[in-house]
Amino acid sequence: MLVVVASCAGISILLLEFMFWCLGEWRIWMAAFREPVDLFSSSSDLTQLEELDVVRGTVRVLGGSYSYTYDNGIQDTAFYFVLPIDTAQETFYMGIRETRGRKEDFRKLAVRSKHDVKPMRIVMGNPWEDDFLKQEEQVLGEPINIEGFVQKMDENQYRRFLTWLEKSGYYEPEPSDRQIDESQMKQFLPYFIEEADIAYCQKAAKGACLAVLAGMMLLAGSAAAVIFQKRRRERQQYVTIHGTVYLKAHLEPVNDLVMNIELLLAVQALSRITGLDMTAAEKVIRRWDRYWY
Amino acid sequence: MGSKDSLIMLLGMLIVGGPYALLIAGGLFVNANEKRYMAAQRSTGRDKQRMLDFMQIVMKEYYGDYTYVAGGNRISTGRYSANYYPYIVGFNEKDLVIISYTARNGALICRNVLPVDWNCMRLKYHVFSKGVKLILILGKTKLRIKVNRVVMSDGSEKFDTPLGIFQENEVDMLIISLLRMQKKTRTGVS
Repeated sequence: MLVVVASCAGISILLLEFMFWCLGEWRIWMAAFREPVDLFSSSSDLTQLEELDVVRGTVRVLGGSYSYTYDNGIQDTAFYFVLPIDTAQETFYMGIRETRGRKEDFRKLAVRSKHDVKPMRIVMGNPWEDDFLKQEEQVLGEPINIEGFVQKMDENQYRRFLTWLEKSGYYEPEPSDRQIDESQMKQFLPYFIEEADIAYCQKAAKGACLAVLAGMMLLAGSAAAVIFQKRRRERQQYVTIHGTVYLKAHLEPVNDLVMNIELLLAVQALSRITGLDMTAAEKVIRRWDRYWY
Repeated sequence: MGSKDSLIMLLGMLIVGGPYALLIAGGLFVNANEKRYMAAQRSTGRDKQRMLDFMQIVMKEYYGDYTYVAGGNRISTGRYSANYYPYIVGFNEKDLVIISYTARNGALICRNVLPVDWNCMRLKYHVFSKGVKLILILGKTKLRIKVNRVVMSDGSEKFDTPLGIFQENEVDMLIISLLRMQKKTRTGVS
């Protein structure tokens, strides 16, 4: 019984972890152990940025916000802020997705333009609308420490990002008859930072590794127990009951009755074969698997 | 609706309803067989005689000391499966003997004889309109036997119910003797 419970638990744990692996959670957890990239230091090379790089730093200014609607069967609108990164040579732009409930702080830090996503209270026609719009071109917020993972934008997402930049005057597209200037496009990185608790992800990765280990140990343990029991059964030639040794073959009828769930008849058969009184024989039959492997 | 659609619908109905139809047909067939077999047993009493002959062989010189009734116990072994264990209960005013048997190729084979030892075993019973249910208890181990006034069978050995017996009088006698045994164990007066 214990073996069945252990193997079922092991299989459940491994299936659960396999599901997390299929959903890409494992990739994120393992990426949390990468060396963090400081986007805002002059030495960082943003052209070397890769997906799932860990990012840590302090944001002092943001370039406005835009929305993007995912449509993967279910529509979901996400809000992004534009993050300008000044390096020694030039300024790069990428997206940042706030996921830790600090949207208002981010808004205070953002240089507003009329193309920004309006907060819901403005969209619903709240009287504070005027105040919000008056704050255009002002940066009032405190610097915000961020950490998260670098995610790659898909093609549509990147197009939406460029459209917003174009509308807000960050970027002027070349006339259609001229080639797009590659060096200008390099400024607009097709990445966004998705905020995440890196320490939590590291903990989750450690927990997941331990869970897989536990699952494998449970499975291996139950398999070993089954093999051990099988070998012990094959080796067993004698059954010892209350200090007396009986040939296993002599107790075969008792075992047949036990296997057939005719326990009272098994008690009687055991009592007849061994000479035990019925009460003692009944106790032996109740724990028959301890005697007959 | 075209003929092709009708054919597909018919095929679908056959696939969905076919197994149920087969199950119902099988049930009706077994029921009809059982009724026919039991009608024959009511007029001839052949199975009852078979049981008594069998008991004569098993019990030998003690045969006359007991009255015999057939019963059984169904133990479920899974969601859709159950085992049926047929027993014959021999009883008189003092004792009970449980005989476990099986039928093979038309012959009844004794598997075990269990005389009830009142020193270590207890007996409980429930009387129903159909018969009586006996529960023999030894420590934490129980043996349940349901003894019906009419033991149904279709005569086949497939379902471990080989005997079809009408035993109304015997079951009434069993109930009376159980009552007397109970009175004796409670008051100590025989």
